[in-house]
Amino acid sequence: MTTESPISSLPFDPAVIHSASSAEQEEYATALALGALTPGEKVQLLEHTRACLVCQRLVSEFQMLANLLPQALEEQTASSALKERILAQAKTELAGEVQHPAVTSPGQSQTLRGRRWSFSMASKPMAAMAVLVLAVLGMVAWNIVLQLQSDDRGDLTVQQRHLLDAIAAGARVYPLSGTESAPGASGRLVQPLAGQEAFLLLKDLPELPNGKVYQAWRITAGVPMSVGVLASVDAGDHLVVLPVAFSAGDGIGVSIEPEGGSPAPTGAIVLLGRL
Amino acid sequence: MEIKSANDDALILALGLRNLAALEELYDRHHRTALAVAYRVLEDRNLAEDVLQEAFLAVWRQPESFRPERGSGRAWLLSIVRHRAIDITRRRSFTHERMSLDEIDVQPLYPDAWQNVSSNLDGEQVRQAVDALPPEQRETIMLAYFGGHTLEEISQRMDVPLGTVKGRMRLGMQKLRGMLTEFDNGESN
Repeated sequence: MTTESPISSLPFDPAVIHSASSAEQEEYATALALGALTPGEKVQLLEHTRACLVCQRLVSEFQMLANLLPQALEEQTASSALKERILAQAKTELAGEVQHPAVTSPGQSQTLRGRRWSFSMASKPMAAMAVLVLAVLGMVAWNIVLQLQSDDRGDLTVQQRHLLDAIAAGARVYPLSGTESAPGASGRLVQPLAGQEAFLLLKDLPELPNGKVYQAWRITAGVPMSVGVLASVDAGDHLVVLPVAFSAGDGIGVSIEPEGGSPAPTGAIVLLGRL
Repeated sequence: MEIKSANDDALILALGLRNLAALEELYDRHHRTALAVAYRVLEDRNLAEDVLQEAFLAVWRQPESFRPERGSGRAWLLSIVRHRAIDITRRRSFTHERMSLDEIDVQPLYPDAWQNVSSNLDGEQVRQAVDALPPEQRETIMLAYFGGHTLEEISQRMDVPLGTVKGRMRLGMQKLRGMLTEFDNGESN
């Protein structure tokens, strides 16, 4: 039986990681990445890595490497009955969801364990549709900030419908990560297979200083080109339709710029992603 | 509906739309590797298939647990399989807690340039690199990743000091990184 180690007898002492040699730091990172720590050791080491950029990068790098290990195994073919069982069970559960859809209230934060939704929600108010969109994209805890002028309300509903259609048709989804300027922010770019637009979902954007706006960029061959000022986007969570399509190899960024936007990024970049 | 051209991340999102075709496509793409992972851990075919069933249904039920900013959909799915399989092997360990989908860390913090390398590599290259490791380094890494063993446990199993385990793990992963980067550079050229 494995027992928890007191801090003093940990194989690694988080207190001395900062002064550890690069070899020792790599030992910490590989053990964490391979899952070779007890739960208590993992918690303590993760606590350290949250504040240490060097260790963050090491752990991230070795985690990506560890994730390749399954590819080293010889693939196995499952019995045909397995696939049938999985799909049959999923169909049964889906039938149950359609018969007993969850009741949701606009603005209510939702937990997704055991949630059931159905497309009957299409008849519900726009705010509920917004929540559904976010739930679909795994962001049900986000609260979309509906800072809309009354004449924008119809547009947002259309945008949300287009987003759902795009996902159903096989749109590709790319993550955006917060930079040092906005470490808590994140986003997703949803690129439909066809058409000349993309959807940008933004989460936990920081508050804008006075006189500043958020601006989106498409980065092609290292050159950023403005996609536009993100009107009505300030702190929090947002769904934006971008009037351009992104291609493989493009980057996407969001920066803080002066009112009216800039021809090239001049301010802090808060989100970056790559297709 | 062009589900077959959707990437894994979009398929997982489509699961949130209760799209069964997306589930089927995910299964068709990944079940062979997923079964290999489960079988590697459990060494029991029937149990491995049970784990696969459980993992794919878990993904179906909770697609919202996937966070693309933390890693690929494939890596997330395979991590679920691996953790579920390790759960079974260690069910007798009172301190091994079953992880919920939300706790499964595919990529704890943030992606970096290595992600481009990993997307260019195929199974044969990864296999070659792993096979080329010194046996003791390979065994250490495999005991950790597929066996779910801690450093202390590996030290006891291999009957070597803890420091030796840590060193072998580090050196093995460094070698792996070096070889796979070379493969990728070869692909790029």
